[in-house]
Amino acid sequence: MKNTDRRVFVKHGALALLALGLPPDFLLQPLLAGTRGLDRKKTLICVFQRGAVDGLSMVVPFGERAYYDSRRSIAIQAPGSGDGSALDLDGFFGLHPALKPLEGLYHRNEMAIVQAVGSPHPTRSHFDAQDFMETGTPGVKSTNEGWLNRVLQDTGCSECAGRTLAHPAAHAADHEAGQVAMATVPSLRGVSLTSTLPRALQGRHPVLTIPDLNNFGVRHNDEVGSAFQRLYRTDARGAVSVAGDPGSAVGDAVSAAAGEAFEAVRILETIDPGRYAPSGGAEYPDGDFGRSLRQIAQLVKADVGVEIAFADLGGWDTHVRQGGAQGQLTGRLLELGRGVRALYDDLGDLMEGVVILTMSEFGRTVAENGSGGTDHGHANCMLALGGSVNGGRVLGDWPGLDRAQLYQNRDLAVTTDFRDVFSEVVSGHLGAEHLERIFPDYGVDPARYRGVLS
Amino acid sequence: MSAFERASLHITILVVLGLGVLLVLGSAGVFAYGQETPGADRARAIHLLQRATYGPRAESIDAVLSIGIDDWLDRQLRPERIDDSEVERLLTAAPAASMTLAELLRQYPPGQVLQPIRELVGGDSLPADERRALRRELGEHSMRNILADLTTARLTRAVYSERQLEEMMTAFWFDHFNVFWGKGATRSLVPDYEDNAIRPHVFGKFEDMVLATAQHPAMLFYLDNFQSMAPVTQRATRPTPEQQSRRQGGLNENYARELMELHTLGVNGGYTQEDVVDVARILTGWSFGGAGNRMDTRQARASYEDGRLVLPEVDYAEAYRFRFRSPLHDAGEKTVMGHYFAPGGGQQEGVELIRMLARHPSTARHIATQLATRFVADEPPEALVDHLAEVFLATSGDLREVTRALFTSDAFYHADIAGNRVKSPLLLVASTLRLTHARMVDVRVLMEPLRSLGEAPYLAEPPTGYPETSAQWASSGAMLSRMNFATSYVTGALRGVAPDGDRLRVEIRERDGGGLTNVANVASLASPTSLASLTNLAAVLLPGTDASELIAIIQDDLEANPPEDTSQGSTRALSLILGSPEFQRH
Repeated sequence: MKNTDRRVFVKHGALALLALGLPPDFLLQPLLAGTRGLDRKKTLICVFQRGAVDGLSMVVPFGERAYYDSRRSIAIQAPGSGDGSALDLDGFFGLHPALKPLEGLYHRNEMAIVQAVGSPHPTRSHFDAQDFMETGTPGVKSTNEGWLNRVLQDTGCSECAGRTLAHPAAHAADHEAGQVAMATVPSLRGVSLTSTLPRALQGRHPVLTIPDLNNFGVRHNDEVGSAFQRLYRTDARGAVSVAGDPGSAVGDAVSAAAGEAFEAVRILETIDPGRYAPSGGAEYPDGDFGRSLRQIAQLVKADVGVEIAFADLGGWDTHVRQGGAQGQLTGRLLELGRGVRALYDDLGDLMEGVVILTMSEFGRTVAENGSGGTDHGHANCMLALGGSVNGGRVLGDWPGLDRAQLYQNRDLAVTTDFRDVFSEVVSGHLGAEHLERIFPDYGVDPARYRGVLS
Repeated sequence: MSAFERASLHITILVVLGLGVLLVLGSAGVFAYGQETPGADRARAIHLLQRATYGPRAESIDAVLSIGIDDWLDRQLRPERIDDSEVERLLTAAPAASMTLAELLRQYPPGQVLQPIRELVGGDSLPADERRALRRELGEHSMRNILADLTTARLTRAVYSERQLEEMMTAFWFDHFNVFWGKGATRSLVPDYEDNAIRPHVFGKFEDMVLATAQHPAMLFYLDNFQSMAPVTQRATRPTPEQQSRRQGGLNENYARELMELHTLGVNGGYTQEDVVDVARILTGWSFGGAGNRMDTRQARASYEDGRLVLPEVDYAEAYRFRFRSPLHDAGEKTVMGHYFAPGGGQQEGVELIRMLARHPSTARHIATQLATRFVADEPPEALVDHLAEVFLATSGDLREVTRALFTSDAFYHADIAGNRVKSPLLLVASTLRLTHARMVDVRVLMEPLRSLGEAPYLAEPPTGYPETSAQWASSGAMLSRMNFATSYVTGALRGVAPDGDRLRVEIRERDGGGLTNVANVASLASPTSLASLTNLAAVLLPGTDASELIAIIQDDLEANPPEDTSQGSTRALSLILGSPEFQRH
């Protein structure tokens, strides 16, 4: 079978298969057999901290006098100041004490931190900033697709991966139109363990949304499930009526998505989430976030071809009574730290091929406000963890916290565009080659990379 | 030729055909509006009801057929003349959805007001039984009740209102002027926003709706304009030293940008960043709050006296009343898209600006495109967009006429259009309930299914609201959720909302000429009567759709896996029809 025969259009993938009246698993079985186990794909796990975490409490610049001057009641004390003081990283920055579970990974050089990273766009609106971070196009709201979906389209293309094309412009146009051939089965390449598909993963490449692996399937009973499967497989709109019936384009979207879901259910049947036992002594925190990470670990271990996984955690919008070493923010950071550490331990040796990356839409004001909280700010920090991470370092230029050094006299300035971190990770780790498609109109320049990967 | 090569070939054919079809769309359709062919009337009526209502019930199909599309539309376009007392009665179960702003804010005051009570409930200064009682009382003031009532009202109207088109357009325009229920103060403002800024205008002048939303506290808060102010040096009046000592505010472009990008001109509507800044400057001072009670409302707290929760006496409605704060207004000159605003225009220049934007040709095109996308096709025919934009401009944005033009256009009735959209989750849920004559005892049970399907009402966080296009609703996880929704609804697992078997039976019996007594007959497949009943069930739920293949598969399934009893058989058949690919489209 020639490579080009495995054409699966990004947009019309399952549409085409159903148009032939072929059951999707007819195709998926041999393809899956071909990819599974032979060449384990690398995986990027993104954790979105929705609501804008206070990066100056997460990774504390305890070496800055201005930090303590600006935060009378909520500052995290310098290392060695007793209970609740920061965990020293490099003599200038320290981790929030609630991130204790991650401290060891930093000192084992498996976790790097980028400080003062963010968007060049000045917005302090959560939804705009999340939108910009997820589409990867700050300031442009008309972008339809998420940057992670564009990564899947790029890295999955059978024609342009790692080779020189005869007609690069024409092929670029195919990418633009979403009509490219996928080298591998698309169904499980991108998964989001969230209730709805996040903007970052939306787009023409099929992506699975799995709110909870335990309930991912047709409930009720097996008979109903198999009857539904037949209904969607033989969906008339998919096949015969195409010629006279443009409505079939939608019919195909319906049956294609259902087909992908049934296939995923079938593949995932073998992994039985209910009986999953984490390894490496991993203890996930209770709640949706811990469950999402646990199920991501399970999917990665099952080697079903997951290349990008996504989870999110909210509750970071601490305008009021944020707290210092104790309090609201501490609770959130405990959940984050414990969850990420459990994921790390659970994946164990597999972390050689995995990068975990945290992100949040913007940082918070340097000064605490009148209600013991912080308001919307600008630059923030990101954590990157994994075997290939250039860990044990706080990366990026530190702009300082003196008033003159602040953005608009109030916020930590951005010295690293978040797209530089994303670009470095997806090119270095996932092998994305066409960063101009992933971050259009940006001009990605490896010279600006911060050295997140070793 | 291998299967894979055939696949490639078919894809090519498909793409070519797809393009051909797009080209054909512009020309006359098979059952174009006004053209008389046998059976075409019924097909047109069903198609209209699939798009303009929350589901084509048999009686609605008959109504359209008997009075004709024009008269039916005319009736729907004047909702105030349609008696809807049955729905009004049902809505008493969701009181918050129709409270006045003053009532709402009294029952559901801003979060900080109840903070002392929360602390009492969470602490240990009170005896346990008093704490329990207080917690119960606190629960009655929980803002979650507002969302529950709003959702209940939205679904109740969608399923049972006689004013179907008004309800459909209210949801459309709410998305167009979206506010997110979850953002702080917006929670207690949304019912009034929908009732007063959106619904009264859906068949009125577009510019009145823009102005109503621009001055509503829900929008002013959601898109931050209430705190947008001119830099001190630009203000008409100098701030007092006290004002100056407070944190210096400044321009907030959030609303100004969305006003042009989303509400009026559209992203390519021809404005620049300078225009955004000047629009924001014009709207500085557009805020809310009575002059006297601002500090009162900030400081007001509930208390606990003699074993009772006592709410403070503050006029919150006044606190959220639209107010032009001239001291914060930028009094300088501005220019927006070549339109000059002389210095000192005050509040009136904002009104002028909004009328100018609302009547702009880019706006006409933007609104036309959105309507055509939401109600006709994800990639709407260009000729239809042109036509709607023309009507919009010719009638100065009369939405009754624009809506009428939409649902009477040839393009809408083109044969290719029917069934080409994926139902949005709200439409899926509402049409499921509407066509099965749901008994709605506790509609709150639908909040979770709607969330997992991806369209929880009032919870779209971005200002774009839920999308107009339909294809994105068909995601993998969502398709499973749709099938699961059908089964849990039919089997009664939702506990609170269930199909009315009796009503459904009557409807099917009528079709069956009285030969059928029970929908459960679908279980005994040997008898031709039950095949007829299955066919009739499909005819009720999927009118105008060729369901023969669907019925054959369900028959096969019931034969291969015989149900334990007739009720199990009918339950399965109904679940499969409601979860079928055919039912996902409209």
